[in-house]
Amino acid sequence: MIRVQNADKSYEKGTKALDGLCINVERGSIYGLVGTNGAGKTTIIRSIMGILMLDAGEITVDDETVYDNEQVKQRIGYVSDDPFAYRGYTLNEMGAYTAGLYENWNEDRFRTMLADYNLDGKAKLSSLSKGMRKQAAFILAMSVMPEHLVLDEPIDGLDPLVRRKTWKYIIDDVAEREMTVLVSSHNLREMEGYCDHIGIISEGRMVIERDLEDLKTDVHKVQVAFLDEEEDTFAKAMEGMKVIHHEKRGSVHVAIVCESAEKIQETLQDYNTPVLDLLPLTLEEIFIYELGGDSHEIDNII
Amino acid sequence: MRSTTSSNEIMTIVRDNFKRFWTVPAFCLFLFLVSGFVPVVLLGTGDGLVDFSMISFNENVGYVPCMLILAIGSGMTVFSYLQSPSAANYVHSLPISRSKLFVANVLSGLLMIAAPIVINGIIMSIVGMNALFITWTIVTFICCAAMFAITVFAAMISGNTLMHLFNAGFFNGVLTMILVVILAVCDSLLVGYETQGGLLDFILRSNALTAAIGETSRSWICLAYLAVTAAFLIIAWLIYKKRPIERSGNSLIFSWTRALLFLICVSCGAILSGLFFATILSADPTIGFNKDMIVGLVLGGLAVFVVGSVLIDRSAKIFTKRNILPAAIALGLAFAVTLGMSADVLGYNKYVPEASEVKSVCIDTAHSELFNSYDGDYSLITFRGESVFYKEAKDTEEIAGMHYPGFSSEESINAVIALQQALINQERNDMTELDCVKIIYELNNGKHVTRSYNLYVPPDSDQTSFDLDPAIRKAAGDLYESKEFKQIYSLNNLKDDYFEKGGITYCVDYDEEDPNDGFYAISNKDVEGLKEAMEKDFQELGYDKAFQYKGVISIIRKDNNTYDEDSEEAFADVLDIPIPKDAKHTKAWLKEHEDLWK
Repeated sequence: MIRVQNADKSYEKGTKALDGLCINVERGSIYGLVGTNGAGKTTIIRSIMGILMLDAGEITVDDETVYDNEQVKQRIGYVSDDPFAYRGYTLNEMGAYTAGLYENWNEDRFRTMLADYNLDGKAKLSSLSKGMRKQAAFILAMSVMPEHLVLDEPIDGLDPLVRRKTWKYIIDDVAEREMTVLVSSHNLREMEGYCDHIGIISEGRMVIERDLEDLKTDVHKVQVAFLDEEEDTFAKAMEGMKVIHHEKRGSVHVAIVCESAEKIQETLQDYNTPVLDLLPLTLEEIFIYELGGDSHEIDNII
Repeated sequence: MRSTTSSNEIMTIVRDNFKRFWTVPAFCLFLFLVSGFVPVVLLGTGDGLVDFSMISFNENVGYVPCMLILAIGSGMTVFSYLQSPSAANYVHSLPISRSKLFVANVLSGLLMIAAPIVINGIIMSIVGMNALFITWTIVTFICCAAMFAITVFAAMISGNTLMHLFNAGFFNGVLTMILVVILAVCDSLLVGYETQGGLLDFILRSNALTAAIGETSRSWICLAYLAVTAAFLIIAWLIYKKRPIERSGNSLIFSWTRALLFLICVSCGAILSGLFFATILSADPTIGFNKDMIVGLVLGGLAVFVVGSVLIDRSAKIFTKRNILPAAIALGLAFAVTLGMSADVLGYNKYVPEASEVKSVCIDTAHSELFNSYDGDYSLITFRGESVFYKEAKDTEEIAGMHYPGFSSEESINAVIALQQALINQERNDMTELDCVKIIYELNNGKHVTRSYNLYVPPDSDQTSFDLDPAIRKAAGDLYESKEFKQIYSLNNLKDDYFEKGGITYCVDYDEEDPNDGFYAISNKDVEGLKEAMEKDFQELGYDKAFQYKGVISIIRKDNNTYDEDSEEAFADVLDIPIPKDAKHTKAWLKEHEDLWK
């Protein structure tokens, strides 16, 4: 597993990128890391990869410290948000270079994936498009047969077919080898479809870290209209439940309620409600409501 | 599936570096061959066309830039990944520790340096059929390795390629630059400062590039620069372990380097500019802390500050606190140094040792107007300055390639001390500058004190010793007429073989106005009489009479001729003994022996 404990990191001009951040990625899970721009996603991912030194805190992979640890890094595959290749190198040459550094390099897989992604091994990486360079980086990372895969916005910019293919490789390895995956992305709809755990960070701190299904179960969008409504009908009905957002559109109340569907229905059944819809929130909606609202709303969701 | 490829990370990095950067050693090998091997093969080493030994001492116009490109180029390429954020992130995500990464890249660089040097050394050794290029290989590799190590250090503190290049050049040359500034300040502002030897020699050895040139002291250079290489690599490794990768892309990784660069560059630039304004541009003949100096200090400091700030910050916003503070301190330092030296706070200008402190003293008697002929054509002691001619030459000092005997008697030492005092006090303003006089004291505590003073005469004078300050002439006369001086420079003190009978021919070149003037051979048996006559005149004549010459007697030792095949000329050992107008004994002997050249 990947564990980050109380990570602090500041940059030169005093910018605090990480502020006591904690992350727990269980073995065999696909962990989606989301956050606003500048929240600290790339910083923590680079720290997990041993590129950056933390000011405080600890990062361990399978209970071993990562920083400057060759053996741990042998087991980690990494795709950066800005894939790099040596100038003038072809895919084959980068493959040979990577093979010289990773003990578990799988040449067969490398060749298979090149063919599957329809990439020419003799092509210079500098001549490829940005999307193709990301594919190449992904192929190289997967060919080292990692136990842990760390992806920093790998899917962004890829076409749907390639994205689907990429996720398939990831899921297959998770299923077959219990590979652990940590992926950051802004494509929340896609993350919702593949991740089983979610971590939402803001300003260098973890806001929510939970099993995705549990998260979606505990938050609902309620659309309700009351017959013979009085001024405080809605407030009385929602008494005892956490409402993080409320607006009225005509006679219909739209609210985000942090409560299970059963509890909400049970509460509202005592009222005459010609309109009552309970809708699960998408990850995107959870993200927006968690990070787009006032701070007390964030406190409420926790 | 486990890979069958070798997992030796270091060799993978080394192989990859050679694959990517082979052009650096290849180009340098080409340059070495074009500069050395090709001229030797095509033109040969005869007839003075190609000096093989000079090439082996790196005194070759192609070898010098080649060493620079090889050392700095290798250092910049193997650590180029540190100067790019994406490259730095990628490399440090790989399963290789920073220490192994450092070792792999240093090893790559050293191998890239060694390859062209060893290949060129082998080729030139075969061509020259001697061992000169074995030494060349060792010395050149060590000096290039030192420059490489400093470039590696520069990589650790730099964040982009431009700053890496600047810092590589800066740290390779910073000691030399500081020493040059010190030398310039001392030479310009200290009265009596001697630039030759000592500090100047050290400057030439103070950076690995110039240290690799020339043939002197190669063993200590190798040891010194091996130590430099080791020290800089260790320091670089220690810094690398702590280097924050997120700062790759910034000009400087550590804030202290900004302050250091400003401090050294602004102060050196200000001082050099101040001296330039005060010496070259100033109408004031006296170099000192005047308004020209102040203007130069300010303009030079400002110019370096602006250029340096733009280079580091890559922005027009240069007047920031972190830039201005170290620059202001540097400018203050420059002002303090120049003002202090001008005001002689160290007491250098006025320092004259006490006679009781002096063990012996040498003085340059061959090149200064102190002991020159009235018409300036002959120095009294053109040869007499050279102690190799004398039996009792002890405590000698080398001045401008000649060895001078030391004076140790109280009379002589007091005369030289008085002379030095007179030289310090002589008038300089609106005077014509003549050659300089160099004085070297050996003190009782073993230390040496060296001073060099120009002689000054009125601008409308004949520029001879007779136009010198009377106090100088008095002191010089006291020295010339001292018992020790007469004893050391006595003709009886010459090594016997110059007056040895048998096999030596003496020629007389006497009286340029005489229609019979020319070279004449005289027999050995007459030489004793001539020598006795000249010795009497030397002992009897005082300083005022000794330098008005009538002619010169040249003693030529033909059996010691050296024949130079290249020029097809013979060079003989010659002693020129000027004959003063009042040398009555010598004139009498020549008159008596007129038949020898009539």
